[in-house]
Amino acid sequence: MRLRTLLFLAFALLALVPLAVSVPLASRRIEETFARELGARADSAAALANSELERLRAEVEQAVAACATDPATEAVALQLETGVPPAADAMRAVAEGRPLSVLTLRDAAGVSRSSAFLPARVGDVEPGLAAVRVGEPPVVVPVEVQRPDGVQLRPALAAARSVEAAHASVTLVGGRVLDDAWVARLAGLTGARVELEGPGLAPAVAGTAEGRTVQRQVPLGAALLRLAVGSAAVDETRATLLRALLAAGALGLGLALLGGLLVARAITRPVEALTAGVRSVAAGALDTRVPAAGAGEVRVLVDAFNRMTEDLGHATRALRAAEQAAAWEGVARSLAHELRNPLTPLQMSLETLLAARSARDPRFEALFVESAPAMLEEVERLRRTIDAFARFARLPAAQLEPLDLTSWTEQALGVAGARPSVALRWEPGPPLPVRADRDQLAQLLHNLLRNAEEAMPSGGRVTVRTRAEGSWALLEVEDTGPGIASEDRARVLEPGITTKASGTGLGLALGARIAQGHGGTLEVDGATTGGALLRLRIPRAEAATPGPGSP
Amino acid sequence: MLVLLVATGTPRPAGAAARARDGGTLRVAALPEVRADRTGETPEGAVAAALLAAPLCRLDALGHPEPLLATFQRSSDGVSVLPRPGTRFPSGAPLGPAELARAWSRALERSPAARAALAPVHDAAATLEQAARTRGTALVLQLAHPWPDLEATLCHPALAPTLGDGGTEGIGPYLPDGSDRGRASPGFPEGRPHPDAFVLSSLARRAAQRALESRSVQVLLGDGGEAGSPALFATYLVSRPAARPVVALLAPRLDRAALVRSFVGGQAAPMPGLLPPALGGPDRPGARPPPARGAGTGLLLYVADRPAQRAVAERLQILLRDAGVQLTLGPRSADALDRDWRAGQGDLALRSVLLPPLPAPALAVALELGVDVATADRERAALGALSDPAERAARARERALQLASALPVLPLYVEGLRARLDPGLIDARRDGFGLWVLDDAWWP
Repeated sequence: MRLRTLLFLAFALLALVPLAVSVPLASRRIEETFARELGARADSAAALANSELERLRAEVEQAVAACATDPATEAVALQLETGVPPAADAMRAVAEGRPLSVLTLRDAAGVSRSSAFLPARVGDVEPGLAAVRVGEPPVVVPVEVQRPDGVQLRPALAAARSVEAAHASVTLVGGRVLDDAWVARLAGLTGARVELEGPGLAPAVAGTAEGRTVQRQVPLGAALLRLAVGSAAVDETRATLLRALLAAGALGLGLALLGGLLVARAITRPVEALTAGVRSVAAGALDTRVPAAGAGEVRVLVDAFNRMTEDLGHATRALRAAEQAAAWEGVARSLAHELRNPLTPLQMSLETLLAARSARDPRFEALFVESAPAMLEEVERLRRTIDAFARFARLPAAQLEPLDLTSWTEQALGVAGARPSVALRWEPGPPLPVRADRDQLAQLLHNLLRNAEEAMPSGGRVTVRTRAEGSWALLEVEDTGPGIASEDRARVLEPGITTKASGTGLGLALGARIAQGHGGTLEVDGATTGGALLRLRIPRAEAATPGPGSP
Repeated sequence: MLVLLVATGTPRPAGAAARARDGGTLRVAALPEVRADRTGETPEGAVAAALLAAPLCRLDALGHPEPLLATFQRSSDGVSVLPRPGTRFPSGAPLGPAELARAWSRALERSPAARAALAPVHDAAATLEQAARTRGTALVLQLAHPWPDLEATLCHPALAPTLGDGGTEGIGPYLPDGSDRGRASPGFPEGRPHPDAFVLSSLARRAAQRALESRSVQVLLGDGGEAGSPALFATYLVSRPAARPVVALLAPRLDRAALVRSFVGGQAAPMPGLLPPALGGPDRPGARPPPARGAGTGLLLYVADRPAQRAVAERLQILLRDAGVQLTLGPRSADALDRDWRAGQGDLALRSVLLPPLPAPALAVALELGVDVATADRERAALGALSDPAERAARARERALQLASALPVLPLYVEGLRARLDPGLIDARRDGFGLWVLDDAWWP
């Protein structure tokens, strides 16, 4: 994984951790806050309901007291005393304009004698109203409410007062039915869902409470007032806050990731440049320089790298110059050696002939005839040496063309000659399509075979094989000679270096140059038989570029 | 015993010494509920309606019909009704048998009293339909069985001949002269009334009482009444067969006296039997079984315009609630109640009917309310077979007691005419139904 990616992920992790910790904490705090708010709203609703009930009690108490002293009430009460039954709904006139929905005149036995709102009960004892005592504060009792669709029991806040004008015990009971309208008003006042219920009472419900609810109960004696505050509005606010929190978190995370990306990029850019520079240096581009970037240790590292490549360039150039000088020294030495060897016999033969001529030695003719071919042979030897160096110097650029290395080698071996004492063994590999110069490849194979033959003056076996290794095509020539010592293997490819008694030392050097011209190498190795193994490694045609592991 | 109906009840003895004078305007005040009774089904409404639409005949104190707009000829198998020649509606249309038949056809559609009165007529509806298409001098009513009281029942206000689809144009002592006004009709068979005109005013109770006390009006309809006057406006609780258990739960809890005292008021009396006390019916209820509780629901129809019915309906609702029955109240107009009940709506209904002042025809009304046609025909035939009026009345009372528990009709209370007259009003008299006849009324 790239450093930049690692750094980005590290920054992302660093940004996520605080968010992962802070968002749940903040969410929990918000939940707790809103839960308290919901409870406070429920308490407030209950307080409002109690306040409304208190107001209603005062209103009922005042209205009933006023009705008890109303002349119309006194007239009905007096009529009752005379034995003439008043109209069942005679109290209706008293109730007009007053905030009452229960108003009944009852006798000493508690029997309803006239009622403003339930005249149909006249003549009976209303069980609910019987519980209302004179002089006591208004209480909630069940009363009958008559409707066309039936009679319902509803809670009513009622108070009782004596009618003073009457001699007999005549009592006025009045009150307010806590009906659907009152429940709806209470629901509107408190913003809660209000339920009013009790044993046998027709339930009244108003308002809504959506979501989670918090309830409060207000006992009313014969009824129970239940207020439920819903969390819908609070939930919406809480959800908005949470959304805002998450949006802020997401924005922070995004900014952190962007910042991390930028920082990682700033940090890794010099490192990546250094990496590219190292790769360039590894590929041989010793003049590679990394642009001065970054700061601190990275900048020091870049500078150090640039100084290192600069020093390495200098050292490499010096080494190359030394190697070239050494190579030229070898060539000169070899050339001198190769030229000196024929010159000495030539000089000695010419001096012998000159001495015989000067002395008029009668063997002059015989000596001449004997020495002239030897001298010509030495001259020829000189010419071959010079041709060899000339070919090495004038090696042209390879003309690459597609060919199958295995088929081509098989054909080339068919025309190659070998001494009878040397056995040639051919081990063909799979078809190996390559791009190669046929002439240079033939020169190379010739040089390798001759090198093998020369290494086995008393005969032996030369094995030629082709094989594939990854993206490379290999051509190996293995002999059963004495082999090449390990310490000499790197040097035998240099011009003028040879381990044999005779030879120009240019054969393998020329082969190495041909291999280079084909994008490959010539490798010197040891054979399992103890002999030498020379290996040509060139890229296969289907392989675009040499892969890792190439020598 | 022959029922003696009080037929004269003027505030002061007929001023024989004074001479009746024509002229002046008779001022009548009516409470709102009286004005709501446009068809004259209540006694007060009938009094008001009779100013412009008199009945076919009038019953005297003994229950004998006095021809007014028509005369009767009895044959062996029926009665011929002969409209008085020259009797015309205010629009000029003559009153003939066809007009009478059409008016009674309409009455059959809305009034149980009319249906009960014409029930003895053989296939009354078809007879009237046929008569409405033919011309002649008499409307022949062939009887399905003997019914000596037919002529008397034809005097019922519900059978007053009217004209037009709405049945609003009648033949009375006054001719309509604008809304709630009338002028004396010189062509009225009994002769023109003494006043030149009448004015009907709608007043609240207190205002109407003050108007009467201050003599601003001579007649107040809807308030007061005389204790001695016959109470024939009977109210029954009728029920469907399926609702009989509900009635059974109600009966033990029903205190008719308390019902009348607290919720009906005025000139009303409990009616424990199918016949009112004025017709010899029982005036005390029999032994009541102990109240029981049940369950169920029901729909009670009542006439919304009648305060007494509304109060009684609410009381019944309360009593049935105590018995475990949830009763729904269905207020209706009078016409709608009759129509809906006959169409099968409702489980219970309060039916108020002005009964004929004769026991047998009154029992026929209760039988008509009971809807059981076969029983009604059988009972009427048995009663009609008795030619002696006293014997017939006695048998009617006897059968009323016997049928009380069998008929789906629970008698509740009976009311008299709620009306008060200016003491200075002379020659106002009551007919056999206990209704004031104001045609001859005058004041010095």
